[in-house]
Amino acid sequence: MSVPDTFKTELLSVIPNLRAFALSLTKTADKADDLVQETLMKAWNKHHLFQAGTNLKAWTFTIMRNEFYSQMRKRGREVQDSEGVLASQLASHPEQQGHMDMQDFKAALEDLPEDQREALVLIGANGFSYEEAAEIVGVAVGTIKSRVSRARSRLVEDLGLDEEGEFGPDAISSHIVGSVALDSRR
Amino acid sequence: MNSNDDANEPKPVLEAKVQAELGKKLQQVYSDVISEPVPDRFLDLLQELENSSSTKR
Repeated sequence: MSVPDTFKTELLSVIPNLRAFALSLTKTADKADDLVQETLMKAWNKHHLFQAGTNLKAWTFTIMRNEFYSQMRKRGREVQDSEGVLASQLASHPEQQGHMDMQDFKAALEDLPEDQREALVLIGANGFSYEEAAEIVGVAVGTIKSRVSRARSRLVEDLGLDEEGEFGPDAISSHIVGSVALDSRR
Repeated sequence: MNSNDDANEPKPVLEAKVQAELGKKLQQVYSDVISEPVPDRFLDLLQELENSSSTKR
């Protein structure tokens, strides 16, 4: 059974997103592109299982994710990385002016537990709905929501975004008392 | 870690701004990769797959 042109075209169009997702899983560009390669081959070989008109992006993301985790299992590696390289270099508090530094953000992202980062990336960077993300990951919608929520809370904490002077008046920060001295921020 | 925080009452003003900032940053992290042209290796792969598909019985 030959592969329809539309399949090939659509597959081509999701490659950039697949590369980005692969990067969030593997963290290095080389491994990311290798993962994309394997995913494309698998997707191609399974094209007859894909229902035309459904979400190809979600479908390929699922294939990629399964491939990634099955490789991890084979290599006997801990799925959850303890520390990303950047995380260990993360300064303990963010930029003075309240402008979040990209380096800090990336490090904080890397510092998240695997499942939280994945959920956040699917929802926040790939525009999937909670239902779609839940299907890709193979968990309940509620689980995805709670992972995203925890990821966000953790980023807020790691990046010190809950401190006064960043975003709002006293009333807000009084709810979220940090141990950081406020005057050191000036 | 604050245990009384999660899932109960978000602080609306702070929450919205922070989430917007996070969302923006998250997309920026990946926007470089996403806006790159598709590398040749994948174009070649798809072409190869297509060629071998069409010669298969």
